[in-house]
Amino acid sequence: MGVTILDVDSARKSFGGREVLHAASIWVHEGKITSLLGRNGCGKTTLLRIVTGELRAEAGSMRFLGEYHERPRLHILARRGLAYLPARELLPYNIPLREIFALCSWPDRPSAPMVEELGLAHLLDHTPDELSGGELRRAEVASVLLLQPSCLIADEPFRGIAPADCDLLIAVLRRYAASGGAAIVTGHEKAHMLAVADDVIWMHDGTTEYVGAPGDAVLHDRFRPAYLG
Amino acid sequence: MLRRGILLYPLVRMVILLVQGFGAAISTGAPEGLRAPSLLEAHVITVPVLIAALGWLDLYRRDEVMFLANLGIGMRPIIALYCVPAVFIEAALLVWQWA
Repeated sequence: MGVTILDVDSARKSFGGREVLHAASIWVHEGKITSLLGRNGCGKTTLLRIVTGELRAEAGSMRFLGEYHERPRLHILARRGLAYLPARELLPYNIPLREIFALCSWPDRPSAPMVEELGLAHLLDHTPDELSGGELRRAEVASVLLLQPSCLIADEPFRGIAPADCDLLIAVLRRYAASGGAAIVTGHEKAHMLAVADDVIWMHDGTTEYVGAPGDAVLHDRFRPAYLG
Repeated sequence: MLRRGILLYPLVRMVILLVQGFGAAISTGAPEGLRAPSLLEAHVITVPVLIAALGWLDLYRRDEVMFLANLGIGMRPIIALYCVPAVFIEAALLVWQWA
């Protein structure tokens, strides 16, 4: 097992008196991808928003690269190597993709191979508001991966992407993990979420449960009937 | 961002002029101790602060704040970028008025 890159322990969060999360934990190791799965409204996005500092947990701890962050802030975490792909739209709507990718790329690492692989090369002169939903999502994924984060938090990366393109995205994410990157992904595309994962964490009733590697998860006596159906 | 800051400028300035108008009207019959804002407070401080607030809300609404945060850019430089053009324009106007 590799080094733990990110570790959230026993997070608790309520909205208007309703406890959404209690004792929710998640972690990811270097070179691995953790899939966080659960039904709509179970608190997956809330947990990710706590990790990135968009929301503040009422209890629990967050450790990134061995350092505790009592009050996480995304721009500070980003400087240490974390990138966040929110479920909502991410990119400035009126800047051409070419400029966005240039902003996100490191000088010594060209963006062209990933842009090519994700089928975005012909769209470089277009702005995000001119793209289809699937194209936009692929552009958003490309922009966060071009940052070369040590940890990627991706909320619904497969949202709106055609099945054939999902396979491309899985390949890109697997290569990112193979190069040492760590990622936590959520989503409802069960087959893709299992295909991309090394570890599966199941969120239910405001808490989380490790259900193993994808091969074990599909045989899990409670996860299988409750989530996979 | 800078462009939006400049675009917001006339709007905010109009609001300030209206507030100043009300302030002046109120101050004529105001109890002792209350006063209309000085020219400096009203222009060089209030206008950039309002522009920064509006700019921040505009970015937040579009989730661009998250994009900038991914680049390691926090709230302070964004607000500063919105403020800078307004500060220069207001300062220039003040100098022109006093000259």
